[in-house]
Amino acid sequence: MVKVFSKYSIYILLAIAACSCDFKDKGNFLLEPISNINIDTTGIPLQRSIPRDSVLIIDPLVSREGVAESNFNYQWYMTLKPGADFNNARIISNEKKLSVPMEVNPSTDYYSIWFKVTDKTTGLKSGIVWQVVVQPPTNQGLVIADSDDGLSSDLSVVQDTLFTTNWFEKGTTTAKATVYKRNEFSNVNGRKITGLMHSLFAQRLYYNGLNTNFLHGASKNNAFRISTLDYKMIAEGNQLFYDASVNLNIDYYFLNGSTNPWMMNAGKVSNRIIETSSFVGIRKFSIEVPGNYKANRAIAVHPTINQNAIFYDENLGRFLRFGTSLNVKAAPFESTTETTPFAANNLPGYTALGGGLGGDLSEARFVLKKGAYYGVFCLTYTGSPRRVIDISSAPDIANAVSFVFPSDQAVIYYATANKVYSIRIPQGGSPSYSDLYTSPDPITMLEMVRRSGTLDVTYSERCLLAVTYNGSEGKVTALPIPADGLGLGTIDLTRKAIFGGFKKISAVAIQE
Amino acid sequence: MKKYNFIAVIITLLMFTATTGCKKDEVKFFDGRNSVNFWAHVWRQSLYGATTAEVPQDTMYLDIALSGRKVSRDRFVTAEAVEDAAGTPEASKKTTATPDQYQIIGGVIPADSLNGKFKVVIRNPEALATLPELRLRIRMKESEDFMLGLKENNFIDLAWSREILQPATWRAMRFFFCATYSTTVYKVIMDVTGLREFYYYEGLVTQEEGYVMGKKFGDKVREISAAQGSPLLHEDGPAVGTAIIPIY
Repeated sequence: MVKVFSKYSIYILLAIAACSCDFKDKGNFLLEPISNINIDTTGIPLQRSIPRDSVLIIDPLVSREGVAESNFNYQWYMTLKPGADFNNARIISNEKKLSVPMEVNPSTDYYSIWFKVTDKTTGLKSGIVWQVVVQPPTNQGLVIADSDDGLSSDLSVVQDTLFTTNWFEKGTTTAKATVYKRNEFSNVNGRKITGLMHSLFAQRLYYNGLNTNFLHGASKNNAFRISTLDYKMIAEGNQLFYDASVNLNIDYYFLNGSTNPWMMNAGKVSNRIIETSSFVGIRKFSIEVPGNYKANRAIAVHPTINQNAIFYDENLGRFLRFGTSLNVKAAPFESTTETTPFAANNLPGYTALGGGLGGDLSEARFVLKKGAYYGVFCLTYTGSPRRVIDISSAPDIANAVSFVFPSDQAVIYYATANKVYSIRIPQGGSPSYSDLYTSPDPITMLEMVRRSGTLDVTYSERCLLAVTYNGSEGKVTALPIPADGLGLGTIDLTRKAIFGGFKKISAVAIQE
Repeated sequence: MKKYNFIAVIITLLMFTATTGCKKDEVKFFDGRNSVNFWAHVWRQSLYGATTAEVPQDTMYLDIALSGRKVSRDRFVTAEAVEDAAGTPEASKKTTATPDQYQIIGGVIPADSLNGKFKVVIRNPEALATLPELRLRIRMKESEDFMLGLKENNFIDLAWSREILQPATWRAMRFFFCATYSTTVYKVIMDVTGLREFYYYEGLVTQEEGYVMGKKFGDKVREISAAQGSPLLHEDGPAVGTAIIPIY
């Protein structure tokens, strides 16, 4: 018996060993392929770009083998902000076909849209992500600040082929009719802006993570920032300054380059840094550049790059310049001590009538006056004197109301109360004068159509704007400069256009 | 002999069975009770020279951290003062404040949170006019929700004083206000900015805003100097007795 037991004991024990082990769950290894949910996106681009408030339609085909369409569940998620953060998203539709108006804040960055399909019978999920840029509605146009009481201003916008790029009927090259959005600011805000606006410019900035188009402006005692999307006031007056106790006596509010907004307050200059995409709120103006200088509106600044800004200080009688970046620890730079063709560093007794960059932005030009003498003083952008041109014999120059310095021409335009003239200042030649236009109403300002924001402006530097006021109505007369007249100081009167019906106009600019 | 072979075979097989026939258990999660500890071991707070009438009491907000599991409700923790052993010299005592000079409020770990705050109210008795500081060591107590944690971390040494201490953010202040620290400088900074700390490197103050504050500081120093007819001096610190030179 023992023998039999010992003979088979090995098998018995092996059997026990086998039985005492856990069974393996082979369910995990069973590979039976399950059919996928197919989302057919044929003909649907993965990236879209549509204007705000227009309806985004995405209609993908969804199928799965052996599953009826009624068994699918659909969810469309859209990120709350541009980017792909679906932790911060909301469901915008539960239909298979997406058809919803895009009411989110416009941005130049992509929002993400996630189409999620669930098979209710098995719980199987599938999905696909689209990207969409929501563009702001076209707000590009000429913004006009006018006033009927001299104490407060309103803003109106004119959209026309002269001021708005691609102002065409859809799919054609036929110009759309001119659109006037009169008193846009008071219509939205129910009030006017305090002060008589003297400065306006457009600058696109990040606002709480969204690239937003802003209109900036200032009057003597006020300054503002408006979002052109809805024309709501973002910040006004002292809210634009870190030092809320600042006394406002603003001479000029302008852009140096495309990214550096400068504030000239009581002749002193301070700057504001632009917001980054992660910044919350708005950045404000800091302290002024120290020194005993007194700057004025006749300051030559570059429209796109960060360059020296040059001005003539009437008190000190010399040209001064701010460096390529504003240094709040040092006074403005003085010019070189060269004395020919003029002593930029020792030029007392003049009055600055106008200034700007010209000659393809390589030359800073200033019209200075001393008694009956009028001269165009030209410097390199680093402040070295370059040439000086006597324009004392220019027609009616003593009654000039404003000067315009086109960036890419050897020309200076100026206006008197009833006429617009040009001065050609060719290199090495003597100046010549042209009588361009006689205005029926008194001219109060001469301006140039000039891009300051991000969007292209077709007629930038190609259209003069004579602003008139006859005691009851303010008008803007657009005087286009023909392409073949560049550098010649001519305008094309056949294309002249008048935009009227305003109060007394104090500032104009192209907004976007 | 054969019998021994048979026994050897049996034993080998039994060992084989013992090693292969066992059930494998998953590693178990830690399942002890939760505890809460102080994040720091030392906390000092200044009363900025205030008298009892000006600031009768202040509150310390101490960071506490959970060791254990998150739950979906607020949980509370308390602590008790630790008295030094009898005969400890005054200078090395961890607790010099008397129970009427403080009040331990307790802490809370909010629902679904790993960290919380522990509050201690400190009084500002007139005794602080002469004493450099009051000290208090507190230790966590067991509560309904928490047991005691590691004894290395379950206490904290508190101290409060009327002396103005150099702020932690001086490393940023020195680039905007004055290169040298003194209590005088810090007092003027607090006066013009209303801030005790200057969170520049932490990104809460922009450079441009710092310039504005620095300019205000400089204006104030110049104003005080003009009013008293002599430069405002550092009352202590490395440049004691010399004039304060503002950066802006």
